[in-house]
Amino acid sequence: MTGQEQPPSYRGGGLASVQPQADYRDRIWWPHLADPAGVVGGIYGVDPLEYVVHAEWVNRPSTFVIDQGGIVRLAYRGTSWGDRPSIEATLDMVVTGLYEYEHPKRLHLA
Amino acid sequence: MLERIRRHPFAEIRGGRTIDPQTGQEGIADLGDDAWRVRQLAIRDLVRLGDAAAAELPAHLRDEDSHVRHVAAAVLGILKAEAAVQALEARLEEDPDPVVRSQAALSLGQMGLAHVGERLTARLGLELDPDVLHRIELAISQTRDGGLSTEVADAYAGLDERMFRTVEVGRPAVHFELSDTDGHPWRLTDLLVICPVVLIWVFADWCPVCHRIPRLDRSAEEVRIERHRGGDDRMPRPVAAGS
Repeated sequence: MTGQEQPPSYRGGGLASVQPQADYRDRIWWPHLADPAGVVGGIYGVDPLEYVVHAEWVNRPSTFVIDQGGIVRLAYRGTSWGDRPSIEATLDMVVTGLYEYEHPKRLHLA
Repeated sequence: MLERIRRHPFAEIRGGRTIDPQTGQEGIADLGDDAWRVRQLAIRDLVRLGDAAAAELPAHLRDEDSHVRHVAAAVLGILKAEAAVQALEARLEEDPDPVVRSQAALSLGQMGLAHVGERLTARLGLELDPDVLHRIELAISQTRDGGLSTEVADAYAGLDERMFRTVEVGRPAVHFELSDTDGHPWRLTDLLVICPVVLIWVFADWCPVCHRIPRLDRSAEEVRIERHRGGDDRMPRPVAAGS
């Protein structure tokens, strides 16, 4: 986990331009919490190692909001890699206190 | 434990992505699906075995089941089983499954051995799959960082399935403390004194949706200003977690 998006050379720019990136993990551009064993992820039900994307086992993309009373107001667990509220939608929910959201591409059981 | 992996009906993985058996789309629609639990607990139980697992697992890196090979490679990395380096390098070079090659690369990086890093660097010129190449790059970085912290193995060993999915809407959050990428510890209880908390689980450094998180900082600032104007300067605090 580094929080650094791959340069164009990785995403469709051609393998010839891929270079060793010694400083890859140094170029973290935002601090984030590390949960490498999925301890907190398991408790919050984000299902660490649920499915594979880009040849890597990953958790469900998930968003939670906890109010100052410590009560969970939103627990959104994604069904696929893009299934989560946007930052703007999340902040709207926080501001309005209305926690209702479903991503348009959310997968549903038959 | 590996038998639990072998017997579990994991969804098909096509082109490095899981295909949901019910919808045919990428992902898993069923929020009650237990694939992660089977995998996570098998890894936990093997990590708990420690040296015994480290001695046994290299033989399973050639199992016919790619899920077994993946779990074996993952545990050998978590345990930093240096005796398995050659067997993991063979997987990185030869395994037909990019998921296994990716895990072999990560596990090799987790050893934190300089000479392994040199061989990983040489591998960059030979691997053709961009996903695996990226994992090799990460592994090289981790080698330079000294490999995986032994705390990760302890965290796996301590996983308690009774606590799994105990957080639900309308109920009290489960409190936790995690360190961020700068080593600074964050406690949920400390944050809640200041403001509501948004937790965002990202899952990969390449995740394009997750990369919009920096905008949260700006958006949060905007919210803070808006609230300040309204006489309330408390602000939601952005926190993200990844595995």
